[in-house]
Amino acid sequence: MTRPSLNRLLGAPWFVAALLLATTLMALAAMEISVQTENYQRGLFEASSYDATFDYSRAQIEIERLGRSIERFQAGTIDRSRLEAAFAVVMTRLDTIPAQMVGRPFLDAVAARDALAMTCDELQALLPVIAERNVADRMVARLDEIARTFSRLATVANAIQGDIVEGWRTRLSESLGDLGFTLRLLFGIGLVLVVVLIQQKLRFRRQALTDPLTGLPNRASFKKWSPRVAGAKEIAIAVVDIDLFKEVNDSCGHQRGDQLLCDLGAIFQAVTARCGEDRRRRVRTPVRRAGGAATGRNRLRRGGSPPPCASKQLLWRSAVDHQYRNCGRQRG
Amino acid sequence: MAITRRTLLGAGVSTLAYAMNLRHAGAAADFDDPARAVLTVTRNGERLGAFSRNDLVALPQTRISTCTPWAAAVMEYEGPPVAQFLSRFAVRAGQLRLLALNDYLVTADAEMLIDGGAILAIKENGAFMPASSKGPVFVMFPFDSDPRLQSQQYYARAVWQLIEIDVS
Repeated sequence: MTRPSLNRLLGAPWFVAALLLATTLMALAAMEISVQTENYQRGLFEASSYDATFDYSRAQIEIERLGRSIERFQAGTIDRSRLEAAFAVVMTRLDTIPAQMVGRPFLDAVAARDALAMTCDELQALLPVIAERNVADRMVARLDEIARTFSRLATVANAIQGDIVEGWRTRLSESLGDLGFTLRLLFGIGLVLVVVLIQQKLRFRRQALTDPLTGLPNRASFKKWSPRVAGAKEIAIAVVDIDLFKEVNDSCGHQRGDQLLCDLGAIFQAVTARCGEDRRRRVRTPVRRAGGAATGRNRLRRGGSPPPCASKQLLWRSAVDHQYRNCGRQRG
Repeated sequence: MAITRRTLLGAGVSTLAYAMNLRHAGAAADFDDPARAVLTVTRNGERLGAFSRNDLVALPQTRISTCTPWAAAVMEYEGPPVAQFLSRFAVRAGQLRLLALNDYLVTADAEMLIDGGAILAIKENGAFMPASSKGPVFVMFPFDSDPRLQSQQYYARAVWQLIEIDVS
């Protein structure tokens, strides 16, 4: 795309409106995604804040140790206080077994806990006679079975918790990716908007300082001109009175007169540009429209004093003659 | 059924064994005796003191009402703040080793427990916790009042059946 067409695109009202609409939509999307991200982050936090698998594994170990304590007590190698301590450990475990997984009931854990509760109730009743071999053997067998249940429960819970955590992690990761993409897009649109704003500001500034008909700097530009050349050793001021302009207007019409002014504007622009190149000095040329009084040191007239640049008079003649010729052709 | 010498001997042995069991049952009751020293404090293995629950309840108490992963409802725990307890041994920083009755051993920075507002809970819902229900001492944090505490880092330091603290 060429530069002028890009400038036209950036200055087009529909393009700016599309950018603003896209910015609004992207901002709304980013807001929604950020809320989603917070929810996923909270879900991941809750799913990973507590490891129930550890409790089930500890329960297995403690139940097995209670079984071994019963065997040793029955064999007479430990005293009753150690057996009771082992039992108290299992009772506390029974009291603290998580029956939920990430806020949802975990039925396998509930079943295992109920089985352990029944066994503990039975053991509590049989504790006074636990030294009897048949009682001890029966309770040890029951405890070993419960320990196996908790072993399986630990592996099942590990897989379930892993699935839940992975689910939240995946959702969070995708959401963060979407959020990042949306923010990068917003950043890009923001940059384009900044460029458009700068371009518009420059355009408005140019329009405010330029005569719309001739394209030459206007009175506002002239007022800003003096501070810009402060300190310059040499400056040039051209005050131009256009002779015969009223005749052009009267005989050829105002449209032709306007065209003449445009042509003159082009001439002055060409001349000042060349003077600027030659002398490395900027020359501003405010224009006074037709009929205005001309007061100044230099006047550009037919047969008058020569203009600062040698070719200016020739160009002026050429412009007036050109308008007359066109006028004559149209009338003829 | 005829009563034989073997039957009499067997009955006598059983009666003796039952009586011994009852005596040991009495020992179990001692385990939950509030006057029995249940919490030992050591420094690098050297014993600094032992505390019964009567000793602990005599210290300034703090109450914490909170949910935990181990209870279905909000429970109220009561006991001396860890900061208050450790100040008796001039401990404000450094690493602690917390040992439980079930051989659960965990290390923790004293600052972590103090800053987290941990207490040495000895009562649950107004009653001493027996050894068969998380007693004699349960390190408890105010989990509900500070979401920062609801993580594995702090749950792992909420030690129930605490019996020994080693400071270094």
